[in-house]
Amino acid sequence: MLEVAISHNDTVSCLTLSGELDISTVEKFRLSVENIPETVNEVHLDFYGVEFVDSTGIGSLVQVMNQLRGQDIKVLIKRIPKEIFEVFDLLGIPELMGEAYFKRLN
Amino acid sequence: MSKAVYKEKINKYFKTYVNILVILVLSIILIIQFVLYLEILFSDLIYDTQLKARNLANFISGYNRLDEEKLKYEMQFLGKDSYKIVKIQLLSLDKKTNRWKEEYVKEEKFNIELSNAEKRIAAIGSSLFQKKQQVWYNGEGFIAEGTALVDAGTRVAVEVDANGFIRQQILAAVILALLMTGIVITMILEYRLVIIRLYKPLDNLISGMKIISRGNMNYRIPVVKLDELGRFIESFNDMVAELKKSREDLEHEISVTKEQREKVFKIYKDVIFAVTQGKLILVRKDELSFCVDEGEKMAEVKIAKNEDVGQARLVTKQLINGFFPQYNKTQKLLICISEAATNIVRHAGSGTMTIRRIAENTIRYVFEDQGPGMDFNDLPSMVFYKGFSSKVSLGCGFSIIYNFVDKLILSTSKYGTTVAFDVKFSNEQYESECAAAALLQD
Repeated sequence: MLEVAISHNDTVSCLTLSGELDISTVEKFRLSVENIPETVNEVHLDFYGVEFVDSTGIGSLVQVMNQLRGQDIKVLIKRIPKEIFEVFDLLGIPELMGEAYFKRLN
Repeated sequence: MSKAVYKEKINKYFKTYVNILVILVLSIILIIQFVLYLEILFSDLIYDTQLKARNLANFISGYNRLDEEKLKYEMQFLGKDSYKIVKIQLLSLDKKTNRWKEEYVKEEKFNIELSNAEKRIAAIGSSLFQKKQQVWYNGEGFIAEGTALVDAGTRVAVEVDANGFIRQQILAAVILALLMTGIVITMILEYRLVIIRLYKPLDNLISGMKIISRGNMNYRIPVVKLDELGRFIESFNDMVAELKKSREDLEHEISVTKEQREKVFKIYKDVIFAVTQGKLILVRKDELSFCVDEGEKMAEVKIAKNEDVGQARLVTKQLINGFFPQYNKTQKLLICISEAATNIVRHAGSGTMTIRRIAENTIRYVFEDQGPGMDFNDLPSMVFYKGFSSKVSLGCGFSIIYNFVDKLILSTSKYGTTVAFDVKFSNEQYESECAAAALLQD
């Protein structure tokens, strides 16, 4: 199960994800990004509520990030739980996409 | 096919058909002759009867009066041949009424008696040939009648025994029927001969072809005659022999290739075993049952759709919470489960996950599917490639599984793939933490 809540002002859109990001939910995640208004130039993905992520989930995350970057939108992933960040790290995603865009939960 | 053989073949069929035609024509001629012969017999009888009447009339007019003694003698004389006179009538014309009046009558017995069967057949015959009314049945037997004038006022009528004639007719009809039957049988036999000659070898050919097509390459269709069909069968047999040979060659080739592949597989397996220090084990399909059936089965989850991946994780999590509540790497194990289950959904469509306890602290997770299998050549890059590339599906999460588990067993063929991995659950960390806590309390 994955819940995506979107809130945005003129320039920043925030997607709050909660639940599991795997093969059964990646489609929902990808579709939710389509709803971002054109005026937005920065997207925050709040991973605080994400309980699980696997390579499929990360694959879609990378895809979404590349897609938004293609539209000149800055993507920031914030409040990543420790366990989820370990998975990111395991697959070398921060390295691939730029470590500055991944903010751990303190 | 040479011209001579072709000619011979044509001749053979030609002869057969000419035979049939000749028999047909001859039998038609025979029937016509028979009918004519019967016609002659009939007119002979009528003529004879008429002659007898004429003779008697001459005799009576010669004596100018009726002399019974002499008439009897004359009758005996006239009845000596096969057609005996059975009745003589002398009729005189009554000038007042202008009708013939019977003046004298003399009857004799029939020479030949017909049996009931003969009578029945004769009845059928007379109903068939109704125009021959000069011969009829008078209650006792068949008779033919002839009349002649003695003078203007006197007439003699003679009835002749025609039973013999009827018997002859019946005999002739029976002979004709027998003859016709014979002809029909002969013609059928002749025709069947053609059919057998032509179709029997074809039947042999077809049934032989069926036997060969069922896979019996050693069967040869028998060649009975070296006609064009025989030659065809011969070359067909040659073709089958050639096919058999090339199939054997091919089978040999395949077995050699198979052997080589086995060798390559073994080397591959040994190299991988050595490189991974026994952590990654490749097995053939036939060696798999041991790995899959080891230990005690704890749970089984069907994996067919995306949601089942989550179900597989849930079941895994519940079991760990029940058996090893202090285990602290659950999240990483769940990722391994998720990767393996996702692979099944993506590449095979459906399969199963089985959880088995193979030792006190060791659990084996077995993922089986009947998918198209994977290419062994991709295996090193899948397993040993560290990190994640921008391509979503590359790696299939194998490197994650490989890096986490204690032992990874892999078997893949065109009939399906099995991935099994063992995880050791140690409570060491927990125990040392407990020990540290105890120390602190002291």
